[in-house]
Amino acid sequence: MSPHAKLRRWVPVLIAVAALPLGCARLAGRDGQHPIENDQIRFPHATHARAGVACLACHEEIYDAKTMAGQFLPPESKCLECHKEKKAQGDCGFCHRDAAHPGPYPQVERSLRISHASHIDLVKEDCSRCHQKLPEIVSTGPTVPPMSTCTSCHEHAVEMVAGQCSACHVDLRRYPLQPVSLFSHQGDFVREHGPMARSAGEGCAECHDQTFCADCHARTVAMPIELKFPERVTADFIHRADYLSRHAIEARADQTLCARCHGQTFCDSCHTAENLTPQSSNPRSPHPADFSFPGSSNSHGPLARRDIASCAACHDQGAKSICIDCHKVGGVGGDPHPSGWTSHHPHDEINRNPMCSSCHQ
Amino acid sequence: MWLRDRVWRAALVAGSLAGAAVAHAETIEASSTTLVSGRPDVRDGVVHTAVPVFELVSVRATDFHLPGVDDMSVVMSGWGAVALGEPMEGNRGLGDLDLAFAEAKMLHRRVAARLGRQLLVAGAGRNLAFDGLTLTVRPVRWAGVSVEGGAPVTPRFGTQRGDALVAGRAFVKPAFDGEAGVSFLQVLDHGEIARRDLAFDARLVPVRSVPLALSGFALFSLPDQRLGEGDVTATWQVERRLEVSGDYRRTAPDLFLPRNSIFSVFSQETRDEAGGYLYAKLKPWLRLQGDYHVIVDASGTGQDASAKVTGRFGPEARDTAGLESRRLTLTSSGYTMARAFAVVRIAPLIVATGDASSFFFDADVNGHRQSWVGAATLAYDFRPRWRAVVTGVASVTPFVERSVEGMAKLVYQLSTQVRQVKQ
Repeated sequence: MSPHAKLRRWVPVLIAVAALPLGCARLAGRDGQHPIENDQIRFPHATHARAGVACLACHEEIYDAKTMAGQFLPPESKCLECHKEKKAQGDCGFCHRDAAHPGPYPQVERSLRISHASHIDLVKEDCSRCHQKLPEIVSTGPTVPPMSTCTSCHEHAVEMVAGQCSACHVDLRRYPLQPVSLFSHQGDFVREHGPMARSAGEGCAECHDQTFCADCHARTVAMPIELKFPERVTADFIHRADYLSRHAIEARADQTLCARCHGQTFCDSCHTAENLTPQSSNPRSPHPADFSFPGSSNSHGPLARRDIASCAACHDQGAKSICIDCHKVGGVGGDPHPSGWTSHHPHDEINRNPMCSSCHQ
Repeated sequence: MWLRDRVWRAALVAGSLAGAAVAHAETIEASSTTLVSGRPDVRDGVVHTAVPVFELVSVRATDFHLPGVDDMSVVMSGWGAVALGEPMEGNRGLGDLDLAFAEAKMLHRRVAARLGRQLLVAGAGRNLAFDGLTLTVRPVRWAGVSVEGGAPVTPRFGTQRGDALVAGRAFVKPAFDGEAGVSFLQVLDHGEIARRDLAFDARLVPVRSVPLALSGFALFSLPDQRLGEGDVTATWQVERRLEVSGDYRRTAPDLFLPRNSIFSVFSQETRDEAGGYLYAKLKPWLRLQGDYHVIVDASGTGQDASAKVTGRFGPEARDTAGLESRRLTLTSSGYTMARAFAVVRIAPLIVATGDASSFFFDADVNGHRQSWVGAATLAYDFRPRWRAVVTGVASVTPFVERSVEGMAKLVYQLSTQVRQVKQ
């Protein structure tokens, strides 16, 4: 191939790779600056409480709220009922932290499911039963009610045993991952997560939905996960780097490894393109020269006994499979069944199982 | 034609589910990934250039408020691709649905139903993807039954192996971190049995005060009356900085073939693997992990050992660097792997990664004994929820004398609460 032809081959690659970052730069904005942080409302809860303002006087909507979706913070008109002179004076900084860019309340992602409507009467409209700490102008740490306020009334153990966190928690994925005792994600988690998910899948599902599993385990994925996430160099991925060169060794090390995810003809689709199967346009045998000779060091018999899945990956064409020519009843290859076969496959199975008739005609 | 029908059908289902979800859910989480890669694709000694453009979409909608339904979610994950250059699969347009299901929990979450394309993870399922229905009933919190019915999903590049599936699992769950179940799975292919398995699984914490977890699994092939797969694992978290584990696994490779395959009659060999791993956080910034397993099969005994050291450096320990090695020894082959990797935050919004791997093979692979691969990535979080990634990979391998690959990726992550639904 001429140098020019080589160069031409890479032109579409270079254009495609260059186009995406350029597109991103446009999306980022003309000056590349980030949007201004949202304004925050300066509201001293303690001052209002001391003045005897009831919570529900401002948070009217919460009284009937059966879910946490929506906006339960008071509208500006509610503030202006008492502080309209500040707005008239143009004193935006009285309420808005960023007076130059005043804005509404920032949208907050809710992490809990709770019906205020069914709780407010139970606590006799005493919101402080749960809301022990409220936002102030000078931030003093998290103000979300601690879980102990829930468990002081609700029996948590039952839901905990059942693994049904989603009754209250929107999901647990938003919490920072900690190595939870007995569900540790550290160490060789790639090896360990399978047995864990097999028997405790509901626990996994509290943080990971099936899209997480499907990244690796779906049978229809677009690409291996290490191609999808090249930036995750600290993660343990099975096919990382030059898997093509070592795939035969890995398959020999664990004959079931490939079969767990890949369809039986997965190998065949590549090997056919590589002219390594009988279905290829110009087939070449990938087997050693003495592969067909019983007793030779590379005889196919013992190899097939040990790793029959590899044989099937290319040669399974049902009743037309290559093995039948020699190993059918009366064929030169003799009986291929392993010892003890008839102990759990009685002779009359031949009449019941259509597959048997391929050899036992 | 078949593929085109499949793509259209998948798109229709996905569109319907996504549309319904956006229309009624309160919380929508969505991600979109656009990915362009260019790589040399070697086919029978000839180098072709493949330039696929992928669009991967995932949508999860939750918090529906329907009468009589405690929780409901709709999940859809799928992809489409246009192959530029010389496509490997011979098709310019490709696409499929990985998942697409709706799930509802009712009667105080004692009954759950999931309908659509999903994974069967628990028990005998072995992560089997299928189109169908899962119904789970928990008459009491600590025990229940699930049943599944449908058709297995045909794997990509694979042919259909099974057109009907029925499965079930009965389980007891005495604690959040403990569960035991017995499960059954049958796959039929044109009326013939492709799989008929009975499995037992368990994960237990024997003593509450001791962080020792035991898990076990045994899957029996009913037609062959043999163990297809079995394993036991003990994991002891001595403390948060130290964890050790021991495991043993036996598999029968021939039982991973469909029972109606002609190749299922040729072998009854087994493969055994035993070993353990160690994880230690030696310093707040230094982690060590290693594992060792002995492999025994009909060809003899092999060994598989690996070690990985990871350190965190820089301001606020935001940078990571590590070394990794693996040695796999089999009777007729094996290799040694050495790898170095690093993640460096070069600016508040820009992360660079580097990854270099080398493989030294015990026997010739296509006439060569070594393989070298280097990769570098630049990721830029250019706006909240947006990330652009550019990757370059260079390699010298037994199958490609010299290779340079490029990839660009644009990711958008959305999580929003759409609206309040008045009841």
